[in-house]
Amino acid sequence: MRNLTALLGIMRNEMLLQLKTKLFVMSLINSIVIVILWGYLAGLQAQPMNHLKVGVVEGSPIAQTMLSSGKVAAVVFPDRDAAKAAVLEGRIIAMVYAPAGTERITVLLDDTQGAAARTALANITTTLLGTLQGGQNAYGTAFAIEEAWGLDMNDPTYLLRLLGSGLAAMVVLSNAFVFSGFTLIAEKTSGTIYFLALAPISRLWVVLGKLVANTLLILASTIMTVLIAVYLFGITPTGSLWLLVLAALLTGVGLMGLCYAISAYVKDERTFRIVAGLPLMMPMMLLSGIMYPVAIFPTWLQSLSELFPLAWMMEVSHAVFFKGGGFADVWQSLTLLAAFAVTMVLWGGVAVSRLMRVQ
Amino acid sequence: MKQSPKAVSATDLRVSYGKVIALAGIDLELEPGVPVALLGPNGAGKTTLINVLTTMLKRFGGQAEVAGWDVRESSLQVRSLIGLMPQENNLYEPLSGMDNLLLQGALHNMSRVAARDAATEVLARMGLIEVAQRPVATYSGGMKRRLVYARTMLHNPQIVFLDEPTTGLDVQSRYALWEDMTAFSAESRSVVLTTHYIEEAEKFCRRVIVIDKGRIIADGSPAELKANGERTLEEVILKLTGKELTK
Repeated sequence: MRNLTALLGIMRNEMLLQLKTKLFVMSLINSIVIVILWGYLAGLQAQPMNHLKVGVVEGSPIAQTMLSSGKVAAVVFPDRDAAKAAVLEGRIIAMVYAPAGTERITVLLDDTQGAAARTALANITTTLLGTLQGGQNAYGTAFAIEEAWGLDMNDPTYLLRLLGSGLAAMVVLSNAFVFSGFTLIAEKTSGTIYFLALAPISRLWVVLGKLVANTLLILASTIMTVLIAVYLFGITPTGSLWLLVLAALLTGVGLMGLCYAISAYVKDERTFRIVAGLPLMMPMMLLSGIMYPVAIFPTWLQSLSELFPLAWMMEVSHAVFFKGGGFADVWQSLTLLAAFAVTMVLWGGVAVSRLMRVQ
Repeated sequence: MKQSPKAVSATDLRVSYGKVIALAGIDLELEPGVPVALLGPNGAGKTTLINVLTTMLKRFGGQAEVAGWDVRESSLQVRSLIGLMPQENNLYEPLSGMDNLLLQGALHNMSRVAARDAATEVLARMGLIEVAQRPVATYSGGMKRRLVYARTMLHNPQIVFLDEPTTGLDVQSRYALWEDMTAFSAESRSVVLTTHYIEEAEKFCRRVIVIDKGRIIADGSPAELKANGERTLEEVILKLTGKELTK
């Protein structure tokens, strides 16, 4: 009973701190801005771009492909020079030309059109990608995405679904670092951690109280952000979102345990940023499959990526968003995440307990 | 629960930090209801002694009991019976004074209602009831000090350890605190403190222990310590330590 009362007290205190210092609100706003911006940009990509006129040359091998594309409004010109003149005169935004018997594709773009030109280029590229059959060419990356994630790049909403899959992991990662590491360092600086050390309960309960409170906040933030993505932008996961919530929970708990351990050892916030930010957070962000598909990495980097817990969460996320996966498809990743969470919580708990003992 | 007539009982306490000896064999027995001042120069070992007795330091030689409980083996019981007011105002500054006290109540297994009642009562005693809902960050230094004291007393501890309790307080607040401590010890509960204000220690404490270089070099009532003709306790301490007194 004593432990439960203290646990609830510590949880309340921790949540109040995150609310009063506006850390939670700022993190949430941050996540919402990212999802809206990303969703808007991805949405632009997903819209049919028939109003963007793209010239093709009659008889060119790719003319038919462009004509049948739902993403550009192809206009046929009798020869390359006529199409080029149309671009230069501003009548069309781009021209695409692929001489027969070569592998070269030329795109002439009116880059004075700004965002519209870039969108047109992206849509041309996407259309062309749909016709190629892989191989060691410049489009290998795109095919690796399709193969690894089961994502059809001809689907106009593919960028939106990419957003959905990476969003939860990004929110969990950033919030775990902010809520646990920075907060504990603030407690070291202000001395409140030594006040908690005097509580007549095991110090592990103190860590547990903080952990549970922050896990609830991270889950709330993650769920809200993903729901915005789902309802505002119509991203439709094909698998169960509960699996993603479970993966987010385990990942968040593990990352917070890790951050508690690091922040117990480092002297101040600046050192924490250096120790946790560069060697841990950035590689996890870049190499876990949030921003770039792991499948495009060289073998050695793929092996390294497999060591990151966030990569295990991304496997669950990809299964949920692209493959319609169930528990049977992701249980291995979830088991790894559970082992990570338990190990890190123990490490963080012991580190913080030691910190509280030594003044 | 064990019963002990002694508030604190310590035998041959030894602590060292590398080559620096902080406590060099302290024997100590404190009676309940007798306010005690620990005095001595900086680095004498006063805070280390308090850290041992409040279970914050586990690596030490010798034996120590607080209210009959061994501080090593029964640290949770010890912590449930004591209050510690550290030198620093280690408060949650973004939170209100009331929230700070409610946390202390929860940590000591008080129901929410009981904690709120106790907090209201002690905040009123410390003249902080009007600002109870304000963030601590908006408090003056003296108000924060009084809030730390209020937090120390909230759960009605048997023994309180106060490290420089009146530093930063104006005269009125200092005397209000001393009166509160006197009333507290009158209920047969124990106050162990260090202070910068020797004359206050002389006035309010019935026992003074002077520590230097990790050893007790004088122990007695203020009158006993001045038996050799010194006019003030400060003179006694300066004579004993041969140093400028900072605490």
